[in-house]
Amino acid sequence: MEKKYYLSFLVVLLIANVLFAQNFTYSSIKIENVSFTGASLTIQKDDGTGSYIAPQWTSQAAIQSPVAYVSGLAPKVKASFTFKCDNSTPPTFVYIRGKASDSIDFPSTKVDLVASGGNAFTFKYPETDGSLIFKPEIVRFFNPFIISWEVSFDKGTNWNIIGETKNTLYVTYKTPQAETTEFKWFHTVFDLSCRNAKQLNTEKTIIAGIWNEFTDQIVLNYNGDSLFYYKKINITNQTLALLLKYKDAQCYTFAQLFLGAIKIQGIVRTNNYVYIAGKSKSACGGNIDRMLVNKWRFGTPTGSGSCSAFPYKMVYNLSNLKTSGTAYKFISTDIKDEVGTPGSCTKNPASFFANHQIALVDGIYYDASYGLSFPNLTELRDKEIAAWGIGTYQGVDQVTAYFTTDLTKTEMGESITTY
Amino acid sequence: MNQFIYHSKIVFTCLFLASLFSSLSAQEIERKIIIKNNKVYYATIDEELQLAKLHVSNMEDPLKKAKVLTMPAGRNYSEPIIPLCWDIADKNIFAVNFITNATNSRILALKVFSLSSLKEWTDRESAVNQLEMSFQQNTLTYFDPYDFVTDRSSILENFFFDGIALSDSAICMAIANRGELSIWKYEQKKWEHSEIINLPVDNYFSLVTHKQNVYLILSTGKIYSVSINGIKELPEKKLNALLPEIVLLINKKDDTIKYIQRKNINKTTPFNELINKNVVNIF
Repeated sequence: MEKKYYLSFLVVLLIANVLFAQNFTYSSIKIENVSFTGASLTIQKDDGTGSYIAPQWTSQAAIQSPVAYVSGLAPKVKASFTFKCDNSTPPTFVYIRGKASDSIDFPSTKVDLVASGGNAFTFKYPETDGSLIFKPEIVRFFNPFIISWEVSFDKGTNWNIIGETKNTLYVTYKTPQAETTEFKWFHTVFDLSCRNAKQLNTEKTIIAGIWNEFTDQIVLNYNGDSLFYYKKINITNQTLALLLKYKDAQCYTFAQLFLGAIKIQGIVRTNNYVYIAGKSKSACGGNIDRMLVNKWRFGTPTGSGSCSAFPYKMVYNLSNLKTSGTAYKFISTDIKDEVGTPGSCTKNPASFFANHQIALVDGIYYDASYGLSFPNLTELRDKEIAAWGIGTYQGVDQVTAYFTTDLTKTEMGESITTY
Repeated sequence: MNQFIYHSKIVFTCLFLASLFSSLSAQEIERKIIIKNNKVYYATIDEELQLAKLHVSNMEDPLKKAKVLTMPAGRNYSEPIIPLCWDIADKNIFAVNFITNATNSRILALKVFSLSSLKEWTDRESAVNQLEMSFQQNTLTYFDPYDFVTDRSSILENFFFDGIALSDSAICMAIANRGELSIWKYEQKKWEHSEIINLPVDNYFSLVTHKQNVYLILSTGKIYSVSINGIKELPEKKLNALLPEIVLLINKKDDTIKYIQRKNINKTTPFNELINKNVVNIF
């Protein structure tokens, strides 16, 4: 008898549910967009075309925009939805909530439906704080940060999944240092920094984590694309913006990228940006003004007659020394470039310079172009430099340079500024 | 909520401060406009290559109509920005080539080249070639003032310099670092310099000449008479503006020094009309 009543109750319940449910179908509900608001940080696009703007997630976009917050804060979002309701009178309101990564909830909120023509309606989840903050002073890298959106038509008794939204989300250790002409809050700066320092919570470990990106000479942007150190030996790009835009640049940019990744975590270090060049000492009627970075093959010196202390001679035209983009072109030379110290994503980068740019953090010299670090400049000189040189400019286009492999001919000089 | 407000305040304050320090961006006139032989000259910097463009126009034309030449020198965008150090002598241009480039030696940065040798700015490829050439060509002499400063301190802090041409082969420079200023003169292939002068500066300064005397204009607007024998403030000559807010007008013909507020520079107004209305006399 009891079994009979129970079955009858189930049948009634089923009929009621079908009658109620025929007013709409959940699959007709669509997430249109999600905006991350509150204290979210501005992220500049790597291509220099401006910053990512809200909504950071839209149904039309193939690639969604990144989001960043400072640790100790909760994410804040708002979202818009549409749905179509066929054959019947729609409800006047629904309840919406989001369940996000890291057990962060965007709590259930009653939202009114607004008719948008025909059988179409919209509703908006209002700007709402997440239930939890990102733990203070811990770097986070959510790839992606997922919010699973749910709707209830019965005041929160039953919940139905609408769908997920996914955005890459960065959480910095502290408030990033202010943007300047040469330091912008670029996407790759956030990405490289948070990717390598994720879950780290001290300045020392964060800096070490960031440095790891450089030590294998494979530095990647947010999209996994290679950032080349002299893919072309005649590349002129020398700012962080140009490295990220063109993905091929000089030493300045790699030092800036490393230091920028530290600055984006709000870690302050001064006197950290180091221009190095051989100390200008006179010899053979000129001054030491150039250097060769390993590795070069030194043949029979032919310049001893003109400059015995710098016997290796090289003659070239300024206008076509690097025009091939892949190899130096000389009129005559005692020295030949060989594959030596690799740079970021390049086996044999340019290696004939007047100066070089590195970083200095907590007493360690970081050469981000080559992924090498040194306790002092003497060690850097002895490991990286192949020769010092003197150039004499002759006529319209021709330079004769003399080199020595005796690195003690001068010290590595430095000019230190703050990036 | 309070946390959000607190962090927002920090961010906006930082952005505001950054905007103050970044007052000189690409395409802005570098320090000054020179009037010489009824021509108007001013320099801007190419944002990517850092090379200077020399704009040349007639007095009666608007600045926008200027012909653009490639100057084989330029300056970098490192902060604090040191605007291009350049001047026109008789037939030559003097400039400091302070472009950041791994093949540009700072010791070879002092350049002199003839005005007539400059080629029109056509395309990026030609400019890149000029860039490479600029590092080794046209060196006047070694940049001893830079060597001097970096020998005294490897840390560059509030580091600024400017220079002017005294003739086609002589220059005067002022260079400052960490509160120490020195004045330098290069003449007859020889450098001479002043004693170290304790003068803290926190932004760029400019040198000008008038009646064969050299004057230093600080960013605050204070003006000093300078030579290798020392400096002397001229309180009566103080600018009623901050140096980054103005462009100096150097008239080589009548030997006058004036200035115009950057905000009053309309590049579509004929230049002679522009300077009839908006300029302030210094010397």
